[in-house]
Amino acid sequence: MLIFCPSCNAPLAERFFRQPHVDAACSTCGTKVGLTLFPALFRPAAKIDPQSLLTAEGEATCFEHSSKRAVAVCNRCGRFLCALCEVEVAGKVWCPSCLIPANAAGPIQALEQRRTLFDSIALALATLPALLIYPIFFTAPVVVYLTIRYWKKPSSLVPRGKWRFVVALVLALLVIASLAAVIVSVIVVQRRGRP
Amino acid sequence: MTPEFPYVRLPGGYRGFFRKASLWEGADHILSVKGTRFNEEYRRFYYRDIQAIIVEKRARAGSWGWWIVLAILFVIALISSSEKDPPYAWVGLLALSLLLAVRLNLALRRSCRCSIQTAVSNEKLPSLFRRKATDAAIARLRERIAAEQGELPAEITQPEEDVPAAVRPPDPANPSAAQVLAEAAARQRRRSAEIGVNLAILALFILLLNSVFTFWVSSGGNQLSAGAASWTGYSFVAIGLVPVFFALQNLAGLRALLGLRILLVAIIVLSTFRVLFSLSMGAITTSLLRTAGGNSAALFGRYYTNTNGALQLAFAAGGVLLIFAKWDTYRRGEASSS
Repeated sequence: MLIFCPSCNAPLAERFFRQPHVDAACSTCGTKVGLTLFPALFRPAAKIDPQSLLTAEGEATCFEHSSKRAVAVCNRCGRFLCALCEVEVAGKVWCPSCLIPANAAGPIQALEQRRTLFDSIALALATLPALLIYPIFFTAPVVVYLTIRYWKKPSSLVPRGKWRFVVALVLALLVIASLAAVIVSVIVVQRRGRP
Repeated sequence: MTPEFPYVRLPGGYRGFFRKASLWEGADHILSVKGTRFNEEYRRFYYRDIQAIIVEKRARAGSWGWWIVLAILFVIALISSSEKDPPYAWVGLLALSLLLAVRLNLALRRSCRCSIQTAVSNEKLPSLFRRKATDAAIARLRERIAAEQGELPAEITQPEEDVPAAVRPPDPANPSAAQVLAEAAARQRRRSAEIGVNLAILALFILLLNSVFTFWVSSGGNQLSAGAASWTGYSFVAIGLVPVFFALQNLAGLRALLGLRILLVAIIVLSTFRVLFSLSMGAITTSLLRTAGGNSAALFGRYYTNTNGALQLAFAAGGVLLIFAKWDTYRRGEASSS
């Protein structure tokens, strides 16, 4: 049961841990700290008796560890699992041999740690190179590719619209159209100018 | 059926030029989103695992970088505007003043640093850095976590002793929570006062240098052009105002240092008036040249410069005298009583 000062990392005095919401101060550095405490702080760490994990005669055993007692069943493949093999993700029980390929095939949302925001990349490529004028002609096709390629790919775990993709695509198409118009007009002028 | 976005945004949020952070309330966990403009990183904190939310209270949200950038911009704006059309100068200065006002508003609001503790981690929540938003977010989270974990056990929340604190003799070896709080607050005030006084001394020193420079320019014994002299003066003002603002931040709420705080505010007013008046000097001199002749214009310029230098000298000297007359008060004893 320890809480550390966020400024100096010294442990805060336990005398402050008597109310759910309390103003404390670090006795080392004097930093004022507001604490909101929850029962999990006072919950004793679960002690596991190693003997209780071992299987007794007539009991089901883990698919991977034949000496250990089965405590759960994989919701996907139905194998018996011991406490070590049981993995609970988003309310379902998985065994490691099901979880790893399932996550590799299509990320399980509850396990996702990182996402790339392709709509922001497309918008940046459609706008920032315009500051230097010429690079926009090279990045515009890339923007069109990114928009088409990643339009259906989920962008963020939290609510986020698709307006960035739309704006980027419109700008990129305008750039490509204007480039095409310039090229066509140059060709037309050259042809008319020939004797 | 699971909704596409099973999260509701919690109060707060940080949006910098490169980095951003936000906090989201899910069905059984909090989602902390951190990232750049092009990617996001997620951390999940399950309601059943959260042990504590720790808020480090900070008086002000100050950052040196912002003040330095503002000071540099201020000098650049003055330098670039002094020899061009006046409207551009005023627009630039107006925009910069607006930026300064926004920054001051941000800096003077109470801020904090928030972190969340579980049995295996202690993670910072950069989206919660304003106290108001932090309080609102914590109020919502308390309900959700209490629904999952329940209330604190009664044996923990009951008072340590039944004897009222007023009749209990103080125990120096085992001070009460209130004593620890009071001592820590006093220590923080002393430290804040010391930093504030040091910064005030630095500001007064710069003001003193500026007044010496002003008299030197006024005496005519220099080889500087009028433009270069003005720019140097403005630079002194811009550089001198940075420690003034920081000193005021550190001295805020210290009643014993009210005199010094008033003096620092007066310096800001004087500097602002001086800059605005100097920028209008061109128009004043032109009108004087038209109406009263060249001698009057030159005389007015000299009077103005001398008055300016004398005022700065008076403020600087007064401030130094004020500090050294009450040195002990400022640095130690009474400074801690707010």
